[in-house]
Amino acid sequence: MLQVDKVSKRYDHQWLARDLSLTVGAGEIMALLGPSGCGKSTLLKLIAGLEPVEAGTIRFAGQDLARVPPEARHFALMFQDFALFPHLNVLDNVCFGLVERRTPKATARGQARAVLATVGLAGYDDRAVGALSGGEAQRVALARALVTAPRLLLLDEPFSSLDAHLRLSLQTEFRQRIRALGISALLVTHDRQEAFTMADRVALLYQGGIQQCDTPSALLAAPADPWVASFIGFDNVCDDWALPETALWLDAAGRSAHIETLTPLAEGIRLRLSQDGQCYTLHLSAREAAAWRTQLAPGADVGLVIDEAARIRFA
Amino acid sequence: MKFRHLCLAVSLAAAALGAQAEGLRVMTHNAFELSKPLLADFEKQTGVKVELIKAGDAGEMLNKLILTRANPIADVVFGLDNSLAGKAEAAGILEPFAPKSDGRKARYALPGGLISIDYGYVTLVYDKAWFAQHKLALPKSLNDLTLPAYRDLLVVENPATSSPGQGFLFATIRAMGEERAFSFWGKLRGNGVKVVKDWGIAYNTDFSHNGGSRPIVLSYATDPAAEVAYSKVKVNESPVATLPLSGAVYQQVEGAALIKGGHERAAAEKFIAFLRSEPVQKDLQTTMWMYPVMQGTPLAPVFAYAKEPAAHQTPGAAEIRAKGQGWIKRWTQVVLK
Amino acid sequence: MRSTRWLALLPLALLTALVAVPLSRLSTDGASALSLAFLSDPYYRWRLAWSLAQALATCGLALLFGLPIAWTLARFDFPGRRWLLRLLMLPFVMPTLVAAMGVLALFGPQGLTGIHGQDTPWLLLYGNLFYNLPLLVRSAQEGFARIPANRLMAARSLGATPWRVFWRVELPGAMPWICSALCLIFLYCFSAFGLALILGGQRYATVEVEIYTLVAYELNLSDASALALSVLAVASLVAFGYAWLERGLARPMRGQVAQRCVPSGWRQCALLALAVGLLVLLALAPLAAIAWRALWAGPAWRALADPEVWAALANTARFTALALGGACLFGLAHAFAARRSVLLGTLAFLPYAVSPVCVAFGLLLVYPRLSASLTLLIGAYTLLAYPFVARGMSATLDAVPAHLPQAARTLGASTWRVVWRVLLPIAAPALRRGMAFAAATALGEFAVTLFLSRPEWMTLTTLIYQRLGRPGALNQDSALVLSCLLMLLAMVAFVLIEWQREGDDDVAGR
Repeated sequence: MLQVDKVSKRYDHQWLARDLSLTVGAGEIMALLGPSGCGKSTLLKLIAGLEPVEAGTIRFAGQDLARVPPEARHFALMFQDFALFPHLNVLDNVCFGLVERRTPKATARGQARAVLATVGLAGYDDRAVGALSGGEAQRVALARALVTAPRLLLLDEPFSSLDAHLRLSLQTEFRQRIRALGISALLVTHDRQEAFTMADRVALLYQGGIQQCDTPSALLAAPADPWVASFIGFDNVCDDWALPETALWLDAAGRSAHIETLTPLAEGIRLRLSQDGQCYTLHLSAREAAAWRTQLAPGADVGLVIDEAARIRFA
Repeated sequence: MKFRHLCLAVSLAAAALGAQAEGLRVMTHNAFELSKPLLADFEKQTGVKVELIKAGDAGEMLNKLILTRANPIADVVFGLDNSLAGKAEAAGILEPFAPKSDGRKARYALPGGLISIDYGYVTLVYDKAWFAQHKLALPKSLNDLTLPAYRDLLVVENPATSSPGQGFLFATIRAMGEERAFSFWGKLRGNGVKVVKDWGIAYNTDFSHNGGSRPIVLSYATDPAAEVAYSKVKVNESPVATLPLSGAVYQQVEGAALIKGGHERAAAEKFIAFLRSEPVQKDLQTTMWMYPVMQGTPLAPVFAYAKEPAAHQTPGAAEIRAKGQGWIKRWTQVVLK
Repeated sequence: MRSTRWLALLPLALLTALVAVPLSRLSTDGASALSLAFLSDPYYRWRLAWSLAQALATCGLALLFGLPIAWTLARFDFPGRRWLLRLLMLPFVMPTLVAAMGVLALFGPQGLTGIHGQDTPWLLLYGNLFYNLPLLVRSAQEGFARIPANRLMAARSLGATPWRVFWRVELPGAMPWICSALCLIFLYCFSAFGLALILGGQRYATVEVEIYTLVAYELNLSDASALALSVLAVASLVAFGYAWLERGLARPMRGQVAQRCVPSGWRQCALLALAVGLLVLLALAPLAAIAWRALWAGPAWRALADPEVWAALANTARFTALALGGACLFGLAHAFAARRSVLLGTLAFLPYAVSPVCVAFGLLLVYPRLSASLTLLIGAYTLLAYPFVARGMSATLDAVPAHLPQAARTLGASTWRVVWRVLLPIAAPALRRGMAFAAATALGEFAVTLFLSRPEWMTLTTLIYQRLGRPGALNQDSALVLSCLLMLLAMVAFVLIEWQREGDDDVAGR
């Protein structure tokens, strides 16, 4: 559906996108994962038509979008700060796009109320948007984006301003809702958890280019390079290899390793070990930690097994 | 929502501005005023539509005419006086013509193609109540005004920005001679004369009769009559009176003229004749507070309070044209700088 | 919204036609060669220096008195607050001569207060404050009102006393608004005839009076143009400085604005009473004196039966409406085009920076056929009124987060629909305020009488001046009665323009 082909964009002499190519299939949810400030939001704005591309083409369903203004693209963009219109109440915010698409007022209101009800905000019609909580504002923004039945949903860090608990429950809800509507979506985030929970495929953006793009499981199974491996959560990454979490464990029979540091975490502990001059990071669950408790202390030695077969070598 | 519709409507209204018809374009100073029925009668009788255009004070009006002489903005002008006649003549903006005589004679004539219409006097006016209250004798001559007893009592208009101010300066020069006149002005400055921009400021804010602090103001000889006519209650005596000291009376003869390059020549001539007709000559007395220039015009009863000064000290138009500008420059030097 | 820059063509055309062309025509027509020789004349040097000094002094005084008043009005709620803010714009409407009479009715030799201040420097400064303090108060109170509450709370929690919060958070936050008002006050005082001149006599004439004398009485166009251009240079420098500062200062405001509170405790009540009292004394007392004198004018009220008065009232209303329409059109175009452009920001001040006399005479030269036409008259009114809309709007538009128009675009709104449905409603309070000031300018504008006028265009202001152009108590009284009528009309206009529900203020700040 969406084809981004060799798109380039500079900002103050810094490349935000350089010959960047990307495709999002019909009904697919794609996550664009990258560190803060790498130009993810700009890429969304390029796709939405809010900023001009310097080179390359963006197509949707085969149509070149170069001369199509944002309002004619039928994409909906949901901003990080939700960008609710302060002068309109909840219902009028949701109706906004319908009115622009020439829907008769009564119909528009009916549709808006229906969508508000599905996001759990029935009866919020006349509320001022300034008086909404973060979660409510986000649902209004989603309702506003979904009610126009966009061809593509663009989401710019939609969960970043919410607290961790709310974020998790909303992510699942979001995914189900978008899935149910069969809309293609492109989600921008710096949070790998969010990307892996929400998306069918995840594209890793770094220094203006896509480093790797694949399903979450494929990414975890075979990260393409050290940067990708560490960004998607591998603890033990070197220049030419990476070790999945499952590839190393403590075992009295293993070769001896020296405990450098020991950090208690909410759900267990983190160990930094050294073996043969190589450092490893190892997470122990609370249960494992309890089993090993007597032997774990900074400066002590424990046995460490590394599954060489599971070691991933970069090409 | 409604507010935005209002904005749109107002913007559209602004875009649609009306056009206007052309008639006889009469330029006047701001003080020009005639009773409305008179003008309406003139229009009906002659079939000419009169467009009055006000161009500020008489001096300003003349300069506007000079500036636009290549492409005149009016056909006939009213309100140029003897102090401006020379300048107007030199600039060659007026078209001389001889009005048809109907047997009546004008008391005064003007040079340079101007047809005299009315006349008046610039002079000092004092607040009777103030002098009575302060038990101060009236000054007997202009020089008295430079004495300590009359310190801070006089307000005059700047000759550079006001016609009465200019007239007073010219009269002092006429009466005393240039050197003595400027030495008088120097002493007046030392004695706290206040100079303001125009008549409106002097009369309305500085004259003690109107809440100011100066009981003597440079104004017009018809003021006592006007004060009676515009009094809040019926009075038999005017609260102000003139102080026609020698060197403080300047005669102003106002006239009308055709403008060179103007249109509607015939209508313009009719308009000037209209200004000299008896109804207008009667009317202008109590609308513009001037004396009618045509002999035999009956005076309005209220003019009993405005006796014409016995003498005046007015330089000739030629002298004013030759030296007027220089005098004003020198006055600015002596009194303001 | 870079694509809206072309909209600048509209106001630029107006400025070119009504300011630049006449001014350059006048200076080329009159002057063989522009020379700065007049600068060697100590008299002109003194005039320039005095104009500059009194303008700066007025700015300083307005700051001194205006800031505490504005802060109090922004932080405290009390009955009649909105009416006070509206009343504050009345000085704008008053013809200077009437204002002078009002001031003298209080502090003149026969004044009600018994204080005789005429011809003292104090009364001059009072006169300047009367006209200019309201500008600063209205503008600064808006600035203070827009500072997000959490910024104030953050400062307090970081250990700042309320006084330090004012200095380190509130004052810098309101700076764009304060600077804007100061810039305008400076321009008004620097290039205006001013109340000081009336109250103090020719000794206190500004350089504009010299220009007026040179043009209108001496037809000395070369010196006048040179003088006018030097005034323009100084004024443009100030305007440019302001526009440059504003660009650096304006940034989107986020977060809930601080709520006004009802004053509690004797300190707050006293502060509020002091501020309101000061404001009434400085800006409203002369108006009250005018109204008081008019009230006792008895027979002069009969003047209201004169059809001339009603015609003048109708004209005033008509011209104000037309000027408002023009001001909206050009002001909005300028505001949408000017976004963060220093040059266009500076140009919005041009109408206040040029000498009205020079422009009036230049227009006669350039458009002799149009010189007594309604088009030119309305054009002149619009010229003087539109910068208020332009400045207020562009400041607000700069404060609208970029995400809002972008979100509207992706929801299907074209550029124009975004303006109509998002930007205009968000900026509506600013637009209303700008329009109120524009209306005040048009209602009270006397400078346009420098242009040729027709009796059938008699407005209330010109009628007042006509009455004051004749001797006699009845004429003075009817001028005062007409001034009251003008104030009444102005209040009606302000209420109509600023009509909105309570709490509709400052939507953009949230």
